[in-house]
Amino acid sequence: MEILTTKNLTKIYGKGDTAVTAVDHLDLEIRKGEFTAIVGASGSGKSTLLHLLGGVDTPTKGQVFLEGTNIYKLNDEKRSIMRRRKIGFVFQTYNLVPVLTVEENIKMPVLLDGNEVDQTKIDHLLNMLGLTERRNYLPNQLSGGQQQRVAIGRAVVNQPSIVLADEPTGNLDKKNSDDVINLLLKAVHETEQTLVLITHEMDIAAMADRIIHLEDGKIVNDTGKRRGERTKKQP
Amino acid sequence: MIQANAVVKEQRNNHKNQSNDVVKKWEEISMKERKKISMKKLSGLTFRYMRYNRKRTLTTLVGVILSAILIYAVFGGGYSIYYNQSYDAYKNSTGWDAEFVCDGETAKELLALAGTQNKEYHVENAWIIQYNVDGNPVLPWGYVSDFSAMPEQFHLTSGVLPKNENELIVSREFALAEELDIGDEYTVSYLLHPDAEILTRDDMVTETKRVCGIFRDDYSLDRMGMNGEADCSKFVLMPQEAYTDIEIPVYIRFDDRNDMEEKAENLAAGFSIDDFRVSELARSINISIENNAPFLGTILLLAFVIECLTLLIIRNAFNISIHERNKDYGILRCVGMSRRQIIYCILTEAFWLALTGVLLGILFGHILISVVFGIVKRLAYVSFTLEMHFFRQAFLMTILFVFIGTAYAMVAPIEKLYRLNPIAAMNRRSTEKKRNYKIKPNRGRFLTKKFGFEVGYAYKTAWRSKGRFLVSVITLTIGTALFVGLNNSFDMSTAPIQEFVHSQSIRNLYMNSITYDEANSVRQDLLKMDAVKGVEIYSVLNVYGREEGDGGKCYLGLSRELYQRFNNQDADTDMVCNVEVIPVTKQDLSEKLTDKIPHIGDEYGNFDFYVYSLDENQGMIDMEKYQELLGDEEIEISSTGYSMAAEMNLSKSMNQIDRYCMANNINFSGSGDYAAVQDAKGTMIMIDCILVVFLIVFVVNMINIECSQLLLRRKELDVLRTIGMAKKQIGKMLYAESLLVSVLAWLIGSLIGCLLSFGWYLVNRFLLSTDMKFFHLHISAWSILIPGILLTIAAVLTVVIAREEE
Repeated sequence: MEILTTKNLTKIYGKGDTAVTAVDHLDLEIRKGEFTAIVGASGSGKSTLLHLLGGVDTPTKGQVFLEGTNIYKLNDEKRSIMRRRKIGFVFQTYNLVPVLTVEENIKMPVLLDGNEVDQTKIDHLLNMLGLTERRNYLPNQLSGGQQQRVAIGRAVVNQPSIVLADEPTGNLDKKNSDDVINLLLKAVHETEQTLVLITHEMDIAAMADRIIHLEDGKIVNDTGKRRGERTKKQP
Repeated sequence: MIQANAVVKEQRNNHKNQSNDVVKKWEEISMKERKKISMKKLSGLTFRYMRYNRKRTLTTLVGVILSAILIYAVFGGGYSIYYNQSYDAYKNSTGWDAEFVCDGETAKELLALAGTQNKEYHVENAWIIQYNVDGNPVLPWGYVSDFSAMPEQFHLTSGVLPKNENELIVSREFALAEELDIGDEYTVSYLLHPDAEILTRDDMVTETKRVCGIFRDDYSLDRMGMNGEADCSKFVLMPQEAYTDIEIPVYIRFDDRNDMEEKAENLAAGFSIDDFRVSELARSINISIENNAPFLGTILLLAFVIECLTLLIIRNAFNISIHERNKDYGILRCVGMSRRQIIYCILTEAFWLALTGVLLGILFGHILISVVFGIVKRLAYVSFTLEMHFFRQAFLMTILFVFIGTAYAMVAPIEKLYRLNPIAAMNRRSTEKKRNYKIKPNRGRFLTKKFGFEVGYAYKTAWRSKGRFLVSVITLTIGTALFVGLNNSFDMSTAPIQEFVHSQSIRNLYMNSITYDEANSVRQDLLKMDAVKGVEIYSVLNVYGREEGDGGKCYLGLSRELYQRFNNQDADTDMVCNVEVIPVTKQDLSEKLTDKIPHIGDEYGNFDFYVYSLDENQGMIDMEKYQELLGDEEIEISSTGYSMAAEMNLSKSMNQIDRYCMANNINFSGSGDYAAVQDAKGTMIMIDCILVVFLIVFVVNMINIECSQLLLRRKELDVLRTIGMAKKQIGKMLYAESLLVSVLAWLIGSLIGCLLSFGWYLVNRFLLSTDMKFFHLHISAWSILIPGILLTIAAVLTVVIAREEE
């Protein structure tokens, strides 16, 4: 069953002669539980696509359905609620809130929802991410790899339907990169979440159930599109 | 195909239904969740940010506090001055709230209520002041049942107020005439008969009492409202019990002045008094400022101007604060924070800043105004009351103004956040509308050639960021223009006060039958006093011409300048007939200007005029010597004694001089209404205080604006550093930019300020029909130079602060 569908999704930056089509009439379906890797050259529209899928950017044309709901038909309030409950983001530059500690950063989506925090769950997540010792540290007191782990924790804490990761290993060395990917896969596997990941690294992409090649905002290759159930890959 | 279409259609319907269900569900959840959302948690985030950006938070808070201080100063100070004026009018005339005319026995009962804190009648104090306006043969006298009820009304130059019935106080003039001093005994005659009418001569009592104090007649009696009703210069005041069986007015002061009519009616009913009234002046104290539209309008206008100025500080600080957090808000938006929640965070921050700022501002403002009032009282010895009071209206108005101001300052940041693109914010990309800048390739070439690349780049930056540059220039221009305009307008408006103060500083001391040596000895004594700047001895000669009515006065030995101030008119040496005054000074003679001045025996026009010549040693010619010179001339000389013109230092107390003159039988006069002078000086000091406060706001504003503009360009500066620009070069560039803004703002602001001053002059001349004798167009160079210097300092400080933050 598709969890995420796009119809004729288009994003054009600028106007007239300077107009750039970042995403070009793109139709895409992401199945539940699927690990999809999006690859492509710089400027091919990968990040723009991911932002559009996550509802943080506005398409010029087309729709994005998340669990059957056209997210761009929702008002800001509803879209924000949807984002905090249904979508988890992991960015290349971590993007943690600098004034909050590791634990508070992870809890943030739960707190924004006004829910009580399940401390056992947070402890478990911190333990899994190897951050128990550093739960009270501020982001600037952590290494890149640790910060990215916090970002993964924040992305999965609400058990969203889909996790969107934009080159999560782009700023990390090989060892940290492997750690982060493994943790990400482990986290989404544990909670049976769908993962869409943008990467330049083919060995990471190779771990995915499905690889989508983007070029000039269009899908030029979609391998494993009909592969059905995701191959369980243990980290 | 049809089947496929049907499947697609079904899928779409399913999607639609599912979508509707989900939306419905979310709506439900949203409503529930919204209730559940703990605002406490978001507030926690806000406080975390406030702590994290301590510097910025503090800057904003300082802006709010400054705003609150100034606004409270305007409202609190204005309300207090208004209240003090009303209270002074009340206190200086009578000091009572209600008057009850009753017989002696009832009067005694009423007097007994004083100081007992009688809750039934709310009496704080009660007393009798009775005075005899018929001074012959009985001395003009008065009796006061309780001097302590209004001690401020008896301005004693020496001694103390009477404490028992055997003591009395006398006016200074009376003391001089009767040669009385403290401790002397004096016999007074007054009426004391149960059946007697108070103002008849019968049934007089003669008693000997001790003089315990000497009061200033011109001051005290005027304050008691007795001037004009009796020969107050010969007045004796003594304590006295109430009479019996005669109608006596008893004055009552209530514990507060609320519902005075009701209290007076209750009191009158309780004591069966028909003749009573409530003081109009006491009633006027309770008339609120809101009933005085011009006063309230002035205060509101002033508060509004201050609000506009301080608003810029708050707005800038908050703008930067939010700008620095843009990335974080982008992240928070990505993880699901709604716009509403972000705005809630901002408003929470604004609320707490406004609340803390306004409370601290009111506290500091209250202290500041109390201190300013204290300084004014200390420097100017003002006769009016200057006390800071707490007024609920001032408190509420300050809160209202500060909250409105802060809310307004939030509008722009909130608007920006509403339009915030999370991705752009996270990547620190500007979300501002992109403009096509058309910069001429040659722009700045001259500056580059002349002053180096950095200055040329600074100039180009100004053109490139025209909007931002103009905001700085316009803001600083407004400040400069307001300063120049206000300064000169105040100067023009206070010119009559300044002139008045200047002219009032001369005191004329008269001594009868005194020799030059004696006069010189007095002069030496006076010169030792702090309050005396200088003393000139002179003699007045009245000269009578041949024809009746012709004549004049010669002020011999008095300097021309002092003469002019003394008499408030020009000294006319080019005399024509019937000109009354001619100063003839030693200097005039030594400079051989005597051809313009008639000499003894000279004929001038149709009028013989005779002038003393000046003795080189004494400054004045000896009388006998003059008699020899006169011969048979038909001239009558009416004055030969010496007088002194003493220039006073009005910032000092005159009490010392008063006492000295009294002790030495020296009469003094002069145009000097010293109380009025002190009041005028007080007004000027207060105006100066306003300008000083304005200057502080102006400087803080300048630094704040320019710093904020530089901080917004931090990324650009980082890039320049990265590509190899040295710190020194960046510094030079920044100095050039800041100075460019300052110089432009100064030039335009000064021009507008001068126009404002001219406008104020025209308004006074043609619309307000101001007395133009003293009101002249005046634009001081200092008023233009001061902002120039401040702008330069601010430009340098800005760069220093910005670089430090960098």
